[in-house]
Amino acid sequence: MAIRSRIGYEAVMRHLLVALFAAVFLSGCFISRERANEPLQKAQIDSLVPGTSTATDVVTALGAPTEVVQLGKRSAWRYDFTAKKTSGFTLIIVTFVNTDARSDRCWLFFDESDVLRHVGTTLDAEDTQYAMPWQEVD
Amino acid sequence: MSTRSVIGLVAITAAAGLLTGCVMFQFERDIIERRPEAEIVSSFTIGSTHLGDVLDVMGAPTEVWEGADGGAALAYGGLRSRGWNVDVSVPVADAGSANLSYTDTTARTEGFMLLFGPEGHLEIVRAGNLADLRRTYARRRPASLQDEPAAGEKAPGGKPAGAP
Repeated sequence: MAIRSRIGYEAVMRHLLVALFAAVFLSGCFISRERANEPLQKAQIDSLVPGTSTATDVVTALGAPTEVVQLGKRSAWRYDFTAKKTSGFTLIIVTFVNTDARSDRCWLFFDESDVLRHVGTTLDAEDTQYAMPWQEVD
Repeated sequence: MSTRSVIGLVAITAAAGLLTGCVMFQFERDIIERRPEAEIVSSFTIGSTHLGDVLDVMGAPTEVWEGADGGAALAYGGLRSRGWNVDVSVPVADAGSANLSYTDTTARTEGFMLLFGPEGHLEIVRAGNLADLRRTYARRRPASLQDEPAAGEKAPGGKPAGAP
């Protein structure tokens, strides 16, 4: 009778321990996503023609730039969209976090007459991914 | 597992739980943008590669600055950092706490800067920390200064400068 009682007590304690650790280990998972500005549309960028399009055409197609840099008498305009994904989990006092932030960027270079001369575009925002800190990410 | 072991584990877990507001260890990995490829950058030629060529091959730079002579400086950079971060909070008063954080993660973006002359030809290529490169190569425009009235002249308020 005493042996059965002891076995029952240990089983209860074992289940309690498992439940406690499960509660601790599974309680701290989190993911979040942040976006800044609107995604760039490749078709709209491709509609701009260096040597022909003007600053007015660019504003009409893409709206107001995020940044304008003066380059002597010329200028460069930046349009961007940034995506950031954060994922991780907390184990009591230890937190593992992975942050992946990439952007769509377009820089447009104008001459002294505000005619578009060069365009550089990078569209990487959709490559942003959730991952754990030890996972391989491109 | 003995009862004593179980109680010990529960006690350790509870103690760790009580510390959660005071000490936090964080393992962080940061991925920011795609890192530029050194092989591509090394294929450019000083004096002949044009701004348009670089944009065609490398896409949009991370940043653009004005160079000292009015040319464009294109900066391409990305960050891959990984490391431990320790965050300690200690109560120092009834209504506040001191926070001490130590990190071995250097969250600084490394990459390449390509400086072009006013005509758009490549003049300088440098690798390194983009913030340091910007401090070295970006044009410093004079800050707008409000003229200080000379002694004896009337300040905007009507009194001579230096008058009580």
